[in-house]
Amino acid sequence: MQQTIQPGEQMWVNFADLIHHGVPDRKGNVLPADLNSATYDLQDLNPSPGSLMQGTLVLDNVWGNQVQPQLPECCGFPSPAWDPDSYEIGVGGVFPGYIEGVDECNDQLENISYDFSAWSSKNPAVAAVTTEQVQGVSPGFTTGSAGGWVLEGSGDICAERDVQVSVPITVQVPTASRITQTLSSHSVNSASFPTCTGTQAGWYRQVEKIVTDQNGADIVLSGQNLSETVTVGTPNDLGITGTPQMGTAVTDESGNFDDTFFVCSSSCPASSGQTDLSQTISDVLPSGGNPYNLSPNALVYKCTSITINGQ
Amino acid sequence: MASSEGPRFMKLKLILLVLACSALCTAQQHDEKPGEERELLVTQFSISGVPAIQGLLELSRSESVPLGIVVDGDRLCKTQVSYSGSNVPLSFVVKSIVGQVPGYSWERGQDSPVLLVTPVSVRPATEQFLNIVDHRYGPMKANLQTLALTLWVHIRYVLYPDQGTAGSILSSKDDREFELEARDATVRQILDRMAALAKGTWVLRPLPPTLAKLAGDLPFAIFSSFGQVGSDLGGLCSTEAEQPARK
Repeated sequence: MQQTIQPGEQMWVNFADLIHHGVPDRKGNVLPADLNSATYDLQDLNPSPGSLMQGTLVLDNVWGNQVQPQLPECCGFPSPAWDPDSYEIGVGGVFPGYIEGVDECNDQLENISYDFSAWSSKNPAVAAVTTEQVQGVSPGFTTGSAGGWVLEGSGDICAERDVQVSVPITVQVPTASRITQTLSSHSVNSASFPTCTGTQAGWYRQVEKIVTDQNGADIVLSGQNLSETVTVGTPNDLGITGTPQMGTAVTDESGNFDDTFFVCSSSCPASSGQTDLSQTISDVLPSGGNPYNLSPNALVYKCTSITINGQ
Repeated sequence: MASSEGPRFMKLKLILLVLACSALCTAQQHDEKPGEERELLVTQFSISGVPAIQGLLELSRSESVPLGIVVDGDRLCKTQVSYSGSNVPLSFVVKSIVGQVPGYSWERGQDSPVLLVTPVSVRPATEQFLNIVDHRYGPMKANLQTLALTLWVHIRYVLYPDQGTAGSILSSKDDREFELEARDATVRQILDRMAALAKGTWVLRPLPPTLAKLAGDLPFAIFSSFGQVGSDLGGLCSTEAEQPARK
């Protein structure tokens, strides 16, 4: 049988009457007259847990046997949130995103993205947000949202709540690079370290770097293709001519890459002079497109040191 | 008598024969030069209407074989070549490709596994460059870029001892490193060693008429699955820029 009831209403179903009076269901079927036991299903055609609840089951009207049927159990997820709780992604970068909540029944963190049907971006020109996915479109900042109906409460006291959860999304622009650590820094000559040869000597420094965005935040993104150009400026006390720009690198999963600087000069090790150079790194994101020219790095080469932007 | 000593004599001859064969075979193995090792069979390789230099680089990459290429003029870049074959020796494929480029030939290195593709008439500056002797290279363990750059620093020192060299080498964290040491080796020999280690190809770009006019840019490139050093394919046939006159 199918019946509509209003909020707060209740209805009784007397199976004995249905049997004895041969009441047909909506398809015209009747229950057998000799029926004395059966199972039944209670189904809410407009699911909204908590809105339809079986109150009591009277098994035998004569003897007054009454049992409390098993009530529908629910487990709520209060305060659902995005995982991750923020995005810093490059243009074209695609990252997964989930809505997670703590199950009130067992305190376990669970992915409840399936409860969310409306995924959107406040500014799709900056980032596109679709089901469980965020994609950078153009540099900038926006907010991603997911909306859905989420259970709140637990046991037999449960209600569904319309929930909107949001996440900040920064689409990063490769803007500069910074040193994360110095891996090696020492003098070189033909005897101690064979980069220089003959009577020339100089300095060698290897550093680990990462590309940073328009806000100075690290761009933790693998697969960035980096190349460089280096030009000699003034002063040029070490008599540098012809500057090889050998570098190409691909960032690892942490966004890191290495940069090795060296100078070999006949003026070293005696000279206290310096040669200034400028390095520009170009960054092509994994999604392709035009390269981003990072802010030039000021390199100072001396016989006893090599510094990058004063570091 | 003869019948009783016969088997003993035959046995002695057999032992001598085995010993002789063993010694001969061992000697042959030891005398084998790198270039005379059993030649690689190219299972399947085909190119159609591509610049010869591109075809050679594809051959090196697909078969992981070391090649050396001396570019002079633009014939290697402008001559379109085609080849298709299977189960043929590597040298046959190289010969077939190079044979389509007027004025070019190939040779097998005497002390190297590298097959060299070179103009029939090599200019003096090119000869001079490839025969520059680096008295001490390494020992060093580094990625391909660093190995190549170190060689260039040394070459520059030989050519211009009063000029300094500075540089920057970007590299990936997972770059493959190779160990290389050479004493009194020519530039060609060291390039061959790098190509052999990286199973790639070294390419010498066209040089100016005299090495005194060689500019600071790297005149050679290395192509390998472990990385690329120097010019890309498009820049290989451009003449190496001459060093501006010093005031």
